[in-house]
Amino acid sequence: MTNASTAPGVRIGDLTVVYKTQAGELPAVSGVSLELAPGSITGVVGESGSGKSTLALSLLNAVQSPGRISGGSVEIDGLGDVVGLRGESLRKARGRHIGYVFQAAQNSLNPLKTVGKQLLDLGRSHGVDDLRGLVREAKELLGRMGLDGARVLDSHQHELSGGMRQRVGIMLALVLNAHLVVLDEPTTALDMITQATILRIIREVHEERGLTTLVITHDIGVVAEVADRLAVMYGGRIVEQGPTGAVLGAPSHPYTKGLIKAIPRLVGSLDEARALPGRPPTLATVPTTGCVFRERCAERMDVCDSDDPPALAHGDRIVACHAVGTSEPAQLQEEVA
Amino acid sequence: MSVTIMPEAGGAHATLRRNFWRGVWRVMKRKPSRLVGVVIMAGFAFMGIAGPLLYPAQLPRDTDALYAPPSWQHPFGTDFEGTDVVALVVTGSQYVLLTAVITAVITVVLGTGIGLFSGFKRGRWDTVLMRVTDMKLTIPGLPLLLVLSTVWKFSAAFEMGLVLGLLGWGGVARAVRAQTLSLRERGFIEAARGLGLSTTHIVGRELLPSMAPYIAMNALIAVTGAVYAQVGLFFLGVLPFEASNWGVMLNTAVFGGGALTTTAALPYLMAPLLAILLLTLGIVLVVDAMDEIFNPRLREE
Repeated sequence: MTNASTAPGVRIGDLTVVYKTQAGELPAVSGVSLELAPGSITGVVGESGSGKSTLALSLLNAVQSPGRISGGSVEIDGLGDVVGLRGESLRKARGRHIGYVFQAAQNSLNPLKTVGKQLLDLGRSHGVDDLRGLVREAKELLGRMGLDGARVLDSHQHELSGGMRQRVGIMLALVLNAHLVVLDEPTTALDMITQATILRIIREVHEERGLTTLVITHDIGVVAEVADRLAVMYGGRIVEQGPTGAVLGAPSHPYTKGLIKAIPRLVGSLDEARALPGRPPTLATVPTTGCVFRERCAERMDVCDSDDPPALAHGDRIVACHAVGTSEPAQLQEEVA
Repeated sequence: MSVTIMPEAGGAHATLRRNFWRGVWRVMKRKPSRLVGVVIMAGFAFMGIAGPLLYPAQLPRDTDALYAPPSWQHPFGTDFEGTDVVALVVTGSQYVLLTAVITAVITVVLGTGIGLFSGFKRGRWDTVLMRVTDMKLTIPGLPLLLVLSTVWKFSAAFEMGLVLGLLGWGGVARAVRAQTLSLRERGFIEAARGLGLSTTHIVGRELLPSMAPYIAMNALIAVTGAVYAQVGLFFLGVLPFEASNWGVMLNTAVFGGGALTTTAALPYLMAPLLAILLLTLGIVLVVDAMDEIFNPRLREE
């Protein structure tokens, strides 16, 4: 069962998601291309409102009205293009092929039912015949995450702590043997020690079960901890992506640089941490032409006002910036260090 | 503890069921008044179902004792024909209670169904259904009933219940829709959708139970509302009547027996009033327990 070869690859191609507002349809995600290699953990970081969660929901084709996927594709191995899925086949794919751990998983359990009953509901909805086996599997997973399976299954939501609920959420996402798992803010609202535990569990379960994992977060620390690859989102676009270590160690996009500069160091003066000037764009204020980041950018050029920077491969990473490519990443590294 | 949920999936279901009823018992026991309420309501249910069977179809008349004062033989005296008032209350309860139950069922089923559908679907259907509901809410109930009573005799409880039910669902629909709109944005509904649970399941098994105390409460309130409405109609004498019921009794006690001016017919007036009062009391006492019954968090400890 734990076989790395079952991990599906995911190719998001030129995905655009728009929300219908008074001012017309505004893009929350525009032209995002991202590839999740089979068996990898990919982290997506960005400020609130940068389109992370919308991107994650697109993997389930679960963007809620007034939002809709207006273009692009999400190809998942063994499932095809999710954007084209409708009705029953889409419902069956959720949970069985794609496990989703929701933002604020603490509130993702029905307050009126025990966890066990919700598990059985899940099993029945997906036509699982062997409910006994499902429960056994759930107990095993919970045990694996350091919980007493029998007790947890017999508990209501209010009888579990935040960290326990988060683990229950992970269990429900995995119990139907999904091999693509999306975690939306898996550690938000948890204390540091629980965060560390959850991250360790994510890592371990990922390896044991041979998953392809996508972690959405605003916490760079979380990404540094678990992700193999990292994608940085800003204003609905992926501005930089590449191997985690390389991106964090030597960021090339000005936004990534700014983010990393803003992190206070353990050693040295606090004053060295520098906040990014300006504020992130909202759906209504995000520029429609030119670079979305130019208003806050230290390396702004004339071309940024008129042309949207294309996402170009620079070695092992992809960066969307006019300034990158003219200067070498090596130089930037010095600047940061 | 491990045996509680497993070893069998079906068994788990049964266990949870049993836990629910054990929880209900605990909630009821916490306040003895709730048990009293249940007993009262059970009594009325029995009265409505079996009451008429206890007496002969034609109630015996004692023509020597018209408007007899209360005695051991006639606890609430007799009416203008010398019929025992208690017997009249018991046999007259069937029409009243059956009407009330039918009204409650129609109110709740229609109100909940329309409210859930509107709130969950939203969009065009929501707009259409809510405009219909608004229009329905503006129809004044009593005048309509007065007009209807000129063409319809309401001799069967079903007809009365149908009309009262069709007049009553608007408020419930509005409230259920509002609750649905709020609940559908909650994390656990989003999660259920994300885990691929079917829409029927989400609406029926996730949304509906969250509103259960509210709906149950509305059902009980609809029962009292229906009792008041029909008794009022009969009391006013706008409905022709063939058989006796509580409203008819009130009518004849006041307009026939002069219960407001003489004391002779007073027991005859008081008996149906007491029955209505007791029924309302029983319902109020039970409603008090609804929230705790349906919320597992309150059910425990």
